Amino acid sequence: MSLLEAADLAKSFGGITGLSDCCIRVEEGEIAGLIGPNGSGKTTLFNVVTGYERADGGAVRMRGKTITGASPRRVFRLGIGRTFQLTRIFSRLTVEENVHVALQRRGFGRMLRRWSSAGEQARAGDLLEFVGLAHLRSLPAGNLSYGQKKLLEFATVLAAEPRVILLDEPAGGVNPTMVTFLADRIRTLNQQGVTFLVVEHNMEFVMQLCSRISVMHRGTVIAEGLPSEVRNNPAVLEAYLGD
Amino acid sequence: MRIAARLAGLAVLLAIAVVVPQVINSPLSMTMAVFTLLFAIMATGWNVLGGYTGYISLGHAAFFGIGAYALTLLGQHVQVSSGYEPFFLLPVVGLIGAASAVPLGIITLRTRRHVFVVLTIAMLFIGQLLATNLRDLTNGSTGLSAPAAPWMGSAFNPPFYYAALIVLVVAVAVSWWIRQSKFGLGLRALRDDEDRALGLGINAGLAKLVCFVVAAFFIAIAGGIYAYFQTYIYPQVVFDPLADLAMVLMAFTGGVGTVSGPVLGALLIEPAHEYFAFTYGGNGLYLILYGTLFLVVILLLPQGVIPTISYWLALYRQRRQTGAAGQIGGQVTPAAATQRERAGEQPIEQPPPGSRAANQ
Repeated sequence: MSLLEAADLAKSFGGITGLSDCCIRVEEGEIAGLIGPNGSGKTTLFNVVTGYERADGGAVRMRGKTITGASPRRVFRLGIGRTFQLTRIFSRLTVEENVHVALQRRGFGRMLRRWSSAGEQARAGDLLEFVGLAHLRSLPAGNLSYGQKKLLEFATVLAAEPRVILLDEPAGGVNPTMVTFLADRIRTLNQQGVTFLVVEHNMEFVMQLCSRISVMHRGTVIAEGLPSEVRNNPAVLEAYLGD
Repeated sequence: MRIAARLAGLAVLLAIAVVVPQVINSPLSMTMAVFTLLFAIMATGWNVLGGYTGYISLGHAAFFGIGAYALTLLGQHVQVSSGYEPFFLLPVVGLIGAASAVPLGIITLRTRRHVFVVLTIAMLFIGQLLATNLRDLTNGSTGLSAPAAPWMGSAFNPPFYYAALIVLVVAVAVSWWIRQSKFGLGLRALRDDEDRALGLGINAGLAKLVCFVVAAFFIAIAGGIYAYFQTYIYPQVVFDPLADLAMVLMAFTGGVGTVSGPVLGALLIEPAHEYFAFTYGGNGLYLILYGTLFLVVILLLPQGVIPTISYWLALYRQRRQTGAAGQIGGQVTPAAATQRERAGEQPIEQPPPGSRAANQ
């Protein structure tokens, strides 16, 4: 049974098809890649899987359990974290507070206690250390550079210890040093058992990082396989270069 | 140490507030003081919604009207003697306001930003229309008499003053509690990016509704005190667009989203308002002054007095520590600098609180 699976997903915006018969699997413990030309439906797929868009048809399953149409909140609580292509952080909160937002608490009484318990503080500190932002913890997050915001968003998603993380262009618009750093962090987490699905245009990044790659074109998956297989697949080349 | 200093400061402020009626003899000044406290309650309540979640309601004065009518009608239908007893009805009045806020909140909070603002404005005027037209209940535009307070002369104001003071202390305590809680952190997160907060497990819908209702609760209580204080209410006065704007203006002036800001805003604006209304009431000049003040605050102090002052303080401390006027915000340790260099990042400068970057 796959950890996360999308089966025959369909989504259209008016007359424009976003997804049609889109199937993708993410196996436990892997770093899966998802590539495709601009507008091929990668972000739409993420939005449907994480509950930001409602699917017109098909199913999303987590460990075999159908979660189609669940709210973003429920999806996150089920253990699916995601980052956004255009990084979304809480710019008026401090770096540290940003991480705390994602640290989950259950129960009404606990919500009324102070926002940072000692345990949570230690956890947030560890996460910020992990992404190299610990020295900026008390700055407003809006003051960070673009790359630092990406790292902060990453740390925030990690806070709730998701089983699988969907990364939407983690390396987009980030300098090469940071890309290497990010790839290293992703590998470290993966060794600790976190599964990833990565959308990325940076081919070098995807080919090195991912064990299996799916290729999307016009809302559907046209190829899937090892990086070397995908690279030489004629259908993929055609999708990227056109007829 | 800082907490002890703050608590001491609070105790001093509270002591001054308690002593005020013993010192001020003029009934006019005492009436001003009561109104100031009522507005402080309203602004503090409003801030729980508008400040913490960023949902700017321009109609929460509707609950002031609901509270005023609730106390008046309760006074007519429930047997209360007219001394201190109506004050004990205030929690019930608050609950009536809160209960009426639940359906209104569910409806209006389906929208965001400008649409929400417009819907809440409608809320105020619908309240006014209902109060005017439900004659059997409200006696229409003729109005209703609330229980008449038995106190005479200079003894008249202090009971209202202390009742309002107690409610204000509770309101500020609730506001502070929310601000520092995990719940409050979620609110401030959804103020910045609601969809992102949803995707991080925040129950934004419920959180917003709770704030909407808490705000209504305190504003309704202020309305209740007002009704008993004035002994006579009618729709145009208790569903008052000016009071509605005043409460928002006070929160913005003092510092929207801070705990003490709305109280400070009320302390600054309401006495001035009363003074100008009393002196130039006839020609409506005070209304123009009000508008001007609103403009000045939005243009020059968009964050309000408290955040601006605390920013200056932070700036001052920073300069004194580093001994130079460079680097603002985040001391740059050597380790941090190298890490930043390694990542190829630009140094970080903290923009002033009013600038666009800080508001994004």
